[in-house]
Amino acid sequence: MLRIISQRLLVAIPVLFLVILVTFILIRLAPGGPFDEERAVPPQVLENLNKRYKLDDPLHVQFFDYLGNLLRGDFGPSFKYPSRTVTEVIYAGLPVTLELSCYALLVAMVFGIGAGVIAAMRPNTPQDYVPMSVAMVGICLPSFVLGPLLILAFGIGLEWLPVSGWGESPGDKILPSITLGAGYAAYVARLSRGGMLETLAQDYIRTARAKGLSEWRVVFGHALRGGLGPVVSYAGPAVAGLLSGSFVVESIFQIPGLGRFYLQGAFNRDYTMILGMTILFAFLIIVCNLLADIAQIWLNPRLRKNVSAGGRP
Amino acid sequence: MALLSVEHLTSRFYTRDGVITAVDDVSFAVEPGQVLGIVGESGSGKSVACYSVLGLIPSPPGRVEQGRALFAGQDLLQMSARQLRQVRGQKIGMIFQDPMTSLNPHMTIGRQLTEPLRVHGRLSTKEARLRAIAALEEVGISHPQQRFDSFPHEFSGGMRQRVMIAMALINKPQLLIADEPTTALDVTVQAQILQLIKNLQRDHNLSVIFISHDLGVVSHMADQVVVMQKGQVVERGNPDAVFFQPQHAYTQKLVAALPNSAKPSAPVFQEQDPIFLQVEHLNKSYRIGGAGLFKRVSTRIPAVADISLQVRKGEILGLVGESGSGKSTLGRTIARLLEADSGRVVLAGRDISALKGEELRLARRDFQMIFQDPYASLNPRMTVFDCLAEPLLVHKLVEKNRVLQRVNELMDEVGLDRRMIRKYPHEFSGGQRQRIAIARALAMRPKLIIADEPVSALDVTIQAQILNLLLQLTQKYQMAMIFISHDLAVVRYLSDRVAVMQQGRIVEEGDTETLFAAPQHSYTRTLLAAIHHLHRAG
Amino acid sequence: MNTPADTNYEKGRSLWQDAFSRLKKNPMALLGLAVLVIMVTLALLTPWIAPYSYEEQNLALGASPPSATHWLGTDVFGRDQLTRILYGSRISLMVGFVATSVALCIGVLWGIIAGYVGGRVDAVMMRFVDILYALPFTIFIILLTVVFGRSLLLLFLAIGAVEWLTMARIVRGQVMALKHQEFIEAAVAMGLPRWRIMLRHLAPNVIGPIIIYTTLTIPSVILLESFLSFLGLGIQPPQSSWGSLISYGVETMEEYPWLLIFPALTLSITLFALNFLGDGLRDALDPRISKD
Repeated sequence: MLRIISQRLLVAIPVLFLVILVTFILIRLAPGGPFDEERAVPPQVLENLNKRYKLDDPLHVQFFDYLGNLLRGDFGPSFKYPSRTVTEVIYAGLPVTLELSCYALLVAMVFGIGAGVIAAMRPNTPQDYVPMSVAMVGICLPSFVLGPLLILAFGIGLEWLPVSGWGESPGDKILPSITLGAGYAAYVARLSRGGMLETLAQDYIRTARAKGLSEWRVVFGHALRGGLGPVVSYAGPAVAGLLSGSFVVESIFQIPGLGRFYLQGAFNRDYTMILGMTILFAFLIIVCNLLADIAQIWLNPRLRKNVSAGGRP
Repeated sequence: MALLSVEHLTSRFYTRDGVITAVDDVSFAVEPGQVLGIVGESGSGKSVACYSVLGLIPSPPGRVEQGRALFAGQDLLQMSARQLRQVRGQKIGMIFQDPMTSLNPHMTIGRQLTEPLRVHGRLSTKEARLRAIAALEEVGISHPQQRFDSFPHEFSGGMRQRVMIAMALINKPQLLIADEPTTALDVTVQAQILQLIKNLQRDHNLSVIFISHDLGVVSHMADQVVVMQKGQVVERGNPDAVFFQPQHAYTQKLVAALPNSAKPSAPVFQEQDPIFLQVEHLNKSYRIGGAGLFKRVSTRIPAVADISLQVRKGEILGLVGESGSGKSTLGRTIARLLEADSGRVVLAGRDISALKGEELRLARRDFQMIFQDPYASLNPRMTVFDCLAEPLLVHKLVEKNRVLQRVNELMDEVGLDRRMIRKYPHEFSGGQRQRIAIARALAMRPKLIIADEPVSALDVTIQAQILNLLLQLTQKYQMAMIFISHDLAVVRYLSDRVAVMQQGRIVEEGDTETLFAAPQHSYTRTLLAAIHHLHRAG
Repeated sequence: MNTPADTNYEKGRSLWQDAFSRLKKNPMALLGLAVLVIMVTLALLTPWIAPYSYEEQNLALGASPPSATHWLGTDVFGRDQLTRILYGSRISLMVGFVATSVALCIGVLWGIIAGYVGGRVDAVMMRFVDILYALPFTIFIILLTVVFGRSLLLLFLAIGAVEWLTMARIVRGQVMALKHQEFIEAAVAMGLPRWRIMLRHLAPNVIGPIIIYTTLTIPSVILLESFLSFLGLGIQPPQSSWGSLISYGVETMEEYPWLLIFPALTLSITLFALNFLGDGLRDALDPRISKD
């Protein structure tokens, strides 16, 4: 087991390095320096800026310099707002974004798996059609459509829930979490339904029934483990999607998370900001993929012991 | 009074393609302490009947339409789901054909074993564990305490089946339903499991319903027999009567189809004929890759170890062995579907093991293969015509305008209707598909045919037809054939000479009848002893 | 190679015919297909059927709800919504099909080579895919648009570069499964040349899943493009795609809800249609994965 974790880590680290490198190069090579939009800056000021951000040094020196800072947790100062550092911004916004993503993930998993399992228990009956139709709606209504609709309905129309802010008024975390999680809940529902159906058709489920176990026990005790395989392998990409998708939701619901700053940085060509955040997100996603991988291996006893040994053909 | 009495049971499946009556007005009974054997081929309904009794048929397409199943006075078919669950696993236990897929791969066997105890008997975890370990011991699993926490994939096929049996019997049921319990096991293992079932039946005064397509096995195990065909019971009685004096035409056909005699025709080859196929010191091993943290560590497992054999023109050599013996690997290596590590294969004077590239490709027409699974060996998207014409055209064996004629001739030779050549493989039955595969192999008039378990996936009655077809064709075209099988009776029927393989080596070789009458090697003797011929009790 | 057209022979029923008849019995899939065809036709005919030009402004009118002259209303600049949505559909559908084609070509080739050649080549190729899969692509795309500016071409390439990964995985999986099927072994044993095996034996059996996933990739692509446009990173005004239209709509959704509703509806309906069609194809072509 430990061997597998270390193997995966060994792959993850170079990947992260590559991400940093590529992003760094992309940004530095981008046409137009960071101050193009502004009116011409007097050469003296320009020189100071260059020195301050070390733009005069050769590229590879800049890179390793940056890398060194990163390892110390220093993402550098923001280009556009020199009084703030990227690190500060991250500290402010990261917890919010993470919280939003977690709630959304929770929504996705709980509703998705629940709907999928219920549907799989009685295929081709209303118990199946209803959750799956709702799921289809979830897939086809992207968050930037669903969000506004929910705001119109619950926020402005019925006035049940607040429509902006995070943690400022009670219940303001509900709509954003649902908006972000809905699409993923739908996909998870389909995946779990498919996985459960396939598992329920297996011989060992028949054996479990022949032992006289109740249907609940058969489904939850025996089928669930195998049936949720596809969901676990989806967890990695799902987290990637949630983190990226949070941008839209934060923007719609005015949530002070990282997404807003990232977008601002993108529009303003705030290089250190974008660089820092891209790396951060990449790091988070790689970690989550790693965890999902490990979870998958742990779930399958055959893989647990034999990943290194390989089976006999 | 009968322990279980099934009366006029009818079950139907409502599928997209129509209604199938899987069980049609079937009645049978099992007495306490007795073994009832239910025999039939695929589609006979033997399994569905028993699943229906326990409410285990998949319910959206399937439905029990009528009938009664009286168990200890109560009608199982009228019970509520809860009552039925009380019966399953407690009063009636069941074991299935494939122990690999019938055990939950994610759970330790200990947990699976104790589950019926905890659910039905309300035993504590501790007590359940003790009972389970005792049960494991009873079915012959050594070191039961350690094995308790193992997973199914860590056991061999035979041991898994023992675990299944332990699990089914752990609540001391009165009736055990065994659905083809030994079909997926090696012959020698089968013998052990059958003996185990017999012992348990005797020790616990268990009633058993033993479902199988293997008449020989049933004749050894059953006190009473029921024969089913296409959902109906066609004959019943005690085994001696049913198997040795069959009344119904179908039973007669079944018994007649059993290949339990020697090769019916005289050998076509002459003793002094030159050797046609010569295999010399063939070696093939598999490498299992291990992954150390930084480098690959691998071990070699020899699948074929220093094999030499000879076959003459028109001769059929039977290659016999259990799973893992390497017989399939040998067949594929000779056919150049796998690359040998060392050794030579010479066919009609030509070293086919040394050929490469285009030369090899063209030479392939001389050595063809027939595979086990008739469903998988034909391209589902090609018509029969395309399938048979392809080799003819690729190897330029006929001119384009004569292809149709040749294809028709091939269809005739394998006994298929010419008018079907525009149909697709999925529109044929298993036996017909195998005929198509044979026709395809034959199209190139090969010198050597390697047949890898060609009849193992077919029903007994169809099996007999295909075997006769193969016999006929090898004689007509003077082809050499290597016939690979685990079924000794079939091998005996078809082969002139037999080679017995164990763990990659040939342990004994010789003329068929001599070998069967007086086996020299201990493994051969074990193999032969494990065969369950039709057995006369009285 | 054709079968003889002799009337004596009994006609066979190929698996494609089976699949097609199954598809015909699926009302939702047919509905999806119909909707898709209508959408595409409208998009193609837009330059001729659109009532106005997409940049034509009517400042005096301002934003107005649906009316006889403007069926779907107008936006704050007096631009006709129907026209803008129609032109938007051209962009969105075009991105959908083109990016999917890019993903298709790369993914299928990659998958077939990795799957058929196997061994080390396969290990390397799929490792590459695994690594790319783990990256936050949406973020990279945003990065790229920042660096290289917004262009349609970039969008095509970027989206295609993301989607080919899934296609490659699926194709490779399919090819690997097929490779070990006995009819492929039989084809080798018959001495058929490699190209023939790949073309006549492998390819026809791989096309099924390819069709299915292509149909399901298109909505995914359209969604991605809409997402980017919504954030302001995709299409530049005055061109519009559904995403940017929705974005405008959100800004003014309290006062002028129709500016949000109609583009949102159009996008959703198209996604529905594609997904139902994809599902239907999956049910028809591979009944094992279907609902029963």
